[in-house]
Amino acid sequence: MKFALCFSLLFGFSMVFAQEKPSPPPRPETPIKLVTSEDDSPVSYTLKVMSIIDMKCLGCHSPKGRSDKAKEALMWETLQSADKMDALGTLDEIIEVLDEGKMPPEKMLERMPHMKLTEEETATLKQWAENLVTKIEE
Amino acid sequence: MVRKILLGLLLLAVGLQFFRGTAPAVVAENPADLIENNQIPQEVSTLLQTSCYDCHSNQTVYPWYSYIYPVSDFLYKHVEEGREELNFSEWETMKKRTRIRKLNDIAEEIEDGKMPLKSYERLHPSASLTEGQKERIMDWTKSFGEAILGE
Repeated sequence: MKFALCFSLLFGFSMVFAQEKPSPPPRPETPIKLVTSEDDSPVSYTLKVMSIIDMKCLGCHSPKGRSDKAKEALMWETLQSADKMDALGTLDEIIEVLDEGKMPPEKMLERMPHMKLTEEETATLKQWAENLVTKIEE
Repeated sequence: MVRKILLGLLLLAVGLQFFRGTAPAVVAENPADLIENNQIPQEVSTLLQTSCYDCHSNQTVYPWYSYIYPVSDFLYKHVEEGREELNFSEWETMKKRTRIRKLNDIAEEIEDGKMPLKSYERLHPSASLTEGQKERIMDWTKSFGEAILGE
């Protein structure tokens, strides 16, 4: 009886742990923290925007990026703490770059064509930027 | 012999002038100009016109040597690129966010010493900016930008 009870409990516990989902793989380094609504920064990222930036932009536009020119032009992490003027200026440039299809650069896409922004991704980023512009200009 | 060489060089110089490109147009009336439409401190507007307007507006003043190839094309390219990057004559046509961006860029380029171009300063010594003048332009970009934001 006691043995049956112990076995049942052990079995029950193992079923509980077996049903837990495995932990997701660690995100790539330098993940972008979400800015909460209480934060004063005018810039915030949605999860959808974060996933696009993570896949297609952070390789160059982050502290670990290889290109100094890219880092000088835009750092997604520091954009989070930009004041209104800097944020607005950067967002204007992001919108222009998206409109002209300049990023990721052609040279990079020749080697890694899968890195090209899809139409949906471009539209998502552009909508995000324009929404923020409207919010800042209010 | 020397005379023949000199004559040859002269003929070459004259012939090269047929390859000269077209100078970006100069437009006297610019209804969308920055200075025409905004209250800019006198000192700042003078500095902008002296140090920036030749490449960054439609009111370029072409010196005599700008009509001589190949110097001409070197200068025309600078003016074209300068206007494409920033044209004060089209200020009022820009979106608010673009004007803010250009003001940020002006401050950054001046602070980094990238503008005015060194090549331009050599030929136009009056275009060089002292540290004090740079500070005044940079301060103005900030205050003017904040005023635009507040519109």
